[in-house]
Amino acid sequence: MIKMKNISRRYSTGHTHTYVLQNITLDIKPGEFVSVMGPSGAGKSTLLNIIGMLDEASDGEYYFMDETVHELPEKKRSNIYKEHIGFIFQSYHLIDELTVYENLETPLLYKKIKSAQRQSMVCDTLDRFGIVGKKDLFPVQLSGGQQQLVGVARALITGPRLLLADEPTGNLHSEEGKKIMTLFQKLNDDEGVTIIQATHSESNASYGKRLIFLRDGRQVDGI
Amino acid sequence: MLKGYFKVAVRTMLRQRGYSLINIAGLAVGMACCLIITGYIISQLSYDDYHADNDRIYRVDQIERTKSAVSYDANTAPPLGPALLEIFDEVEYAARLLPANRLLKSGDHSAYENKFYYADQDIFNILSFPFLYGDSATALVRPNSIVLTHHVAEKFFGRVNPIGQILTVNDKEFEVTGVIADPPRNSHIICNALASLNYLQDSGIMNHWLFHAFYSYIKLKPGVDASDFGHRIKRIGDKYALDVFNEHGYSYDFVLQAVPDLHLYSHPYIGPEPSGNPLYLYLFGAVGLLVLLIACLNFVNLTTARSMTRAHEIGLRKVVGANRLQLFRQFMGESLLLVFLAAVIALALSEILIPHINAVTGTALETGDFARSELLWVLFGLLVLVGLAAGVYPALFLSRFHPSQMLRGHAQNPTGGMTLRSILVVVQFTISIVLIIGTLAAHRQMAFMQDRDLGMNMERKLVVPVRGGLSLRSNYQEVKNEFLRHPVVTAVSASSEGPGHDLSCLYTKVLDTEEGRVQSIPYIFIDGDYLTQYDIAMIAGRAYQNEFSSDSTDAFIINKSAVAALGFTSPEEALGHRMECGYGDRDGIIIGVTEDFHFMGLQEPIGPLVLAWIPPLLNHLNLTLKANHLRENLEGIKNIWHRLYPDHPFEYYFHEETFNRQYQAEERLGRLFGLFAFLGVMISCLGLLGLVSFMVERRAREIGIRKVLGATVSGVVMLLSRDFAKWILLANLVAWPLAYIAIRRWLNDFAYRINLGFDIFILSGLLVILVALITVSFQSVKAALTNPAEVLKCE
Repeated sequence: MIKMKNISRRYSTGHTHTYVLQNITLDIKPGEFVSVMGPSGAGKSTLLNIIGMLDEASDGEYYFMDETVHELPEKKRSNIYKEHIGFIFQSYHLIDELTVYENLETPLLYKKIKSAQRQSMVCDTLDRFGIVGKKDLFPVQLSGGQQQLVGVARALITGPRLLLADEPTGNLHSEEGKKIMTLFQKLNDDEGVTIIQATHSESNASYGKRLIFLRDGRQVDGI
Repeated sequence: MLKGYFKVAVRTMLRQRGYSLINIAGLAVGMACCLIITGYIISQLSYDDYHADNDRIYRVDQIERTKSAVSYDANTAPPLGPALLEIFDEVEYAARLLPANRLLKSGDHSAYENKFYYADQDIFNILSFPFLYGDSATALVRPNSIVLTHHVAEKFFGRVNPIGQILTVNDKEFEVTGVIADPPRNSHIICNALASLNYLQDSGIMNHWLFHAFYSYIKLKPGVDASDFGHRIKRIGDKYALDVFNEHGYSYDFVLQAVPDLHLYSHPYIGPEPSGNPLYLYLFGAVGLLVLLIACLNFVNLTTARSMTRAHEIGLRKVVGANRLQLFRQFMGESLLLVFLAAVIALALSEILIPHINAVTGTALETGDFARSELLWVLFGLLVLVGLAAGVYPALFLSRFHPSQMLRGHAQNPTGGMTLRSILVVVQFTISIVLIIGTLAAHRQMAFMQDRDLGMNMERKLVVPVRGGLSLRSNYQEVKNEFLRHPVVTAVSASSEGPGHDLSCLYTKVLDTEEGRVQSIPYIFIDGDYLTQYDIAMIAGRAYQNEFSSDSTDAFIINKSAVAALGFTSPEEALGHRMECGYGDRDGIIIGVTEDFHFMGLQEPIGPLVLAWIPPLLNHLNLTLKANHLRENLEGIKNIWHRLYPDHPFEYYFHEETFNRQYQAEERLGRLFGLFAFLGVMISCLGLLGLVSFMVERRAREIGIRKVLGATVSGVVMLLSRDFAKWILLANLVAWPLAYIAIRRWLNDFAYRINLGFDIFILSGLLVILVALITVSFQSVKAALTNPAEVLKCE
């Protein structure tokens, strides 16, 4: 599904370059559950952003489902990730002005899905995640764990084939975190959703089936 | 989808209540300005558009030429109208109006009517006077008939139909034959009473080609080329009175003026009602647009400034699948919502302010005017335009954000785009400063004109007109003595209407020089006491004296400027020469020359003037009052009047006030500029407030850290204010030259003007800096006082 060859990401600061990622090469097949591990500043988030097409690599080749992403114009790229990829952030990143229902509905709106179908998809998702009673609340009225749950729900509502999770349980306590990770596992096992998570928690990583280590922007161990 | 955008727009607006309020307020004020000015301009342009066939109606004016002068006059001679009708097929109707002041009386009720006209019956076929009672086809046929406007009729006869009732006009009986609707305010001529011109049929003046006191109107048949026709009537007077003209050294060209153009495009100092000035229309239009511009700049500035806080939401929406167009539409929607609210408020504001606008500008807007269709279209147009224009840039700007920037937590532009914002703020303040300087200059010029020594003393002069059929001719000495008996009255003289009113010009000819120069010169008619009473200085010869009876039959006094105008080289040389004036060919010797004094407003240079003593023309009493309690002593003076003239109402005015009314236009200009300057500054400060809040927010952490490191409150305030002070200074530098050029240009129209001193500029600059600093200080002091601990919490 994902093939990366010598991907690098650098920033120009004055006369020098700072490399956040250097020469990353990897191959991820559909249905895998990969954990990217490493200390703070290792480049995990950046890698996830590049995979999710939220950011562009400075060098290297990136193939997503056999599409040559590094050569695609922005519009096409956004179409791909809209279609296939769901993103879960560490700090929930919900739109504060919208209710839970509306937050879930937003990705569907942007895909121009018709009203009746939208309604049924949102209701299904609310039901599945057990948050029906909260549908008219605003994010500020929810607890941390609940907000993250909504974030996961939103990422999944369009039925993406790839789920990218950036420290999904970083701001949660262990109970809530366990719930999320179990959910991920279920998605991967039962529905074959490819999951790539960035984490520095070993217990989280253990839910996955493969490990990639990053340090100072480079891969260490693992393929 | 639209509903979603709307919901988010409303919630976003409510969340940022402060900003939304500032934004809407600023925009509403700017739009209200535009609306008001548009209303004013439309009302000025709409004068006389209510007449039927108003593309065919004209007034005939004349250009009078002598060997040495040319003058334009709206008043023409009585035979003109009938002559045009007789000679030219193209003329469908011709009619004349003769203005007069008359005392109207019915039963116990009596009042002077200033807007009284004698009129030809056919005037109703040229100008539109809707009849409420009576027949427009016959109302003024009989000589003793009179048509009244609705409010005049009500004043004398109550609410009943007054047709057939008798009204005395200067003690002569007239029959009411019609009542017309009160004329709309946007008329170049307001007639409150129309009496039949046939009343004057036998008075001998109706055939006189040199008696220029009438307004002559014609209506052309359909399809006539007006400019061609205008050429053909040019010398029509010559056909009838060429020898009379030649005898007096005059020649006349007649010109057509379309009635709808009369208000704006006729010569400023002629015409029955105050005329408009097209220059002012442009001026106010420009000012209105400028204020709206400031408001729009504000809007753009504030909206883009807030974009920093929305980077998160924008990036997120993009992650979730929004494309740029969808985001653009969302932000345009938010802008349009704000703009719509602002527009509604602007409309309400304009309606509420109508009475005040009327007071300041002297226009005639009526409540509900803004709800009339034309203005509503303007409003919509404005809405769309402003919303689009102001919303486009921020929408483009915001939709450009990249999700990765949001995720990294950086603002797209570390400086927050302050350069662009600074430019916008500088522009706003520049405009405001120019307006402030303009206001100060206008006020100073006004004060200068009002305070300047006029060369005559009009202080404490109570003027009592003697009219309505009364005359001072027989008993004027007794009348004067009666008033002198009142302890508060220190001097009395008699004269015609003096400075502060339009003076009539008379034909004047020097009889005993070779050249025999002929001029048309303004006259004031005075008696033997006038010159001393008004402290007018003589520079040659002597003043009139009551002891010399020949002074009132065979003498003239002229002013210094008249000396040269009549062809003399010095005042002394003029003395002793004989001259003739156009009042019954009265002639006399020049016995004195006065110093030039300002008998017209200071907009005009002092021209020639003749002060003639012609008793029949003395119809005003001038009373000098002792300084204290001017108004209280009026009762006593009023009683004296009623003893003398029991049947006539007492009227008076203070000479100084009337004279200063000549500056009305300038005063209005000053007031309007003041108003717009205030608004401009207010809107700019609103914008400044929004920006400061934003900047403070952005630098909150920096300020917190500085405080921890030891910065004082005043140090922090200075830090924040420094940038703004720079902008305002820059705004001043740009504004001063612009203002200087514009004001010099305006002042050039005044014969007597102030020097544009530096202090006006510095004062304006200081004023703006002060106001801006106060605005900035609200937020910066608050920020400086914030506890650093609150700000430096980790996320």
